[in-house]
Amino acid sequence: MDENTDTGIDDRSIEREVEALLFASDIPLAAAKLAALTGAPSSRRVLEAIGALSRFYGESGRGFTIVEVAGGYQLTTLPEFSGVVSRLFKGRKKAKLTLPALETLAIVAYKQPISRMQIEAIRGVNCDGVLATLIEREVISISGRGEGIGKPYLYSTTKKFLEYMGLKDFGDLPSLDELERRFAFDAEPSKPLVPPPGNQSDDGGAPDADGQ
Amino acid sequence: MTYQVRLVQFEGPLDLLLHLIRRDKINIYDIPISHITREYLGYIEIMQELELEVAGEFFVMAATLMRIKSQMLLPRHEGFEEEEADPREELVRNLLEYRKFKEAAHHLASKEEDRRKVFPRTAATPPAEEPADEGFEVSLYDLLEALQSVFKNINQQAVYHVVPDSVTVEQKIEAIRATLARRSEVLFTELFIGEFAKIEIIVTFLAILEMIKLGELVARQMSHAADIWLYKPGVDSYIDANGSPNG
Repeated sequence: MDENTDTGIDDRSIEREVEALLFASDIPLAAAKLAALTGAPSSRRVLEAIGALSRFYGESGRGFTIVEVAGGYQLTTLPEFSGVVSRLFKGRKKAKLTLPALETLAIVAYKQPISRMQIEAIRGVNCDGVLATLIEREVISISGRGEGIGKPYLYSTTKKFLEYMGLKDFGDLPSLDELERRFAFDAEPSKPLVPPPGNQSDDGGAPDADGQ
Repeated sequence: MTYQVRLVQFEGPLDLLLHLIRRDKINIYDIPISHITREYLGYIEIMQELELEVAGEFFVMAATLMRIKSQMLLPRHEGFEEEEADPREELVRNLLEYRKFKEAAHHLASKEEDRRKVFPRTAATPPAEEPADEGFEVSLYDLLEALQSVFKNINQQAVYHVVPDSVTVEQKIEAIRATLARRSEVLFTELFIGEFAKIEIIVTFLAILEMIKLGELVARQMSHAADIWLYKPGVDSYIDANGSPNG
């Protein structure tokens, strides 16, 4: 490639160093980490560099871009090339998560840290197998032990969860209230049967798990 | 002849109730408890008839529904309405809570889908290629509903056939494999053509479930209540956007 003067990249070594780091890394790199590695004066300077690189990739029609995910930055191919890249990886298959697994994962994501009993109280079914799958896929992990009988394990999502879902952070997920509002088409009860969820914290007693 | 088909990750009783509520366009805040109990028990019955492993939670819920139903029948004390809780309250609260997370799960599914279209620089575990993205995979309930209509059809025809009782799930699986070796897709109902005996239909159905479990079959439909198509996973097949050439 010939000397570019209008990309704002060539001589500015921070851009090129950031590019090299993103190229070499197999995990998203946080701006602060990139700053520390490159010796950039600030994270903000790194963000500028990332911005310049993204624009350059877009304008020069690359097949990849920089995405913000799991609190960091990462080079990925563009979605429109999913077909051709999939052909490269054909056969090395990793299944999508099943709906029960996604349900359980959603509960952990919104209610973490949470015990198996509490998850089962919400889903109404045994969740042993699903939790094992999610741990095996490294999207959740045991993050501690709860109070109460037997000091149950508590589960939380991992950084890999954000990465797997392509989320920047938890702010990327719709709030529980927002999810509730999606069902606003339901006829409202004349007199609310269930008091509006004001203090839904699950401190204190765990929700009773039995259906009786 | 006892076959146990264990579905790897079974949705639970709340899921079934939400399915019924959606299907019958029921107001979740005012559930007609006798109707829903009847429908719910109907499902449990057919699952048992198929010797599917019905998780204990389903029976607990059945008991809960029947308890609520009987409480609704009790005369209410005049003048105490304020105090008296609706016996459905706890169930409704559970359903609303569960429904939120079900919605969250769908949101995650679409995030997952998007993310699987892009590949990080070092793809240690590259996402898989999925079968053609037409329609959606059907749930066990959709399959059970389709089975119910197969039963309805034979009842209407009222023909009695004697079948040798040696038909096994394995043989049916072989037959379905043979069909899919010739064609890339097959209509769910097609597999029951010429079957009039309940046991034979059940064996075919179990064979389908077993193959889905083994990952040899994918069941998809364009919309609820549309025809269900069965595919070999990974085969580049699609359903035409209008649904299907019904026949």
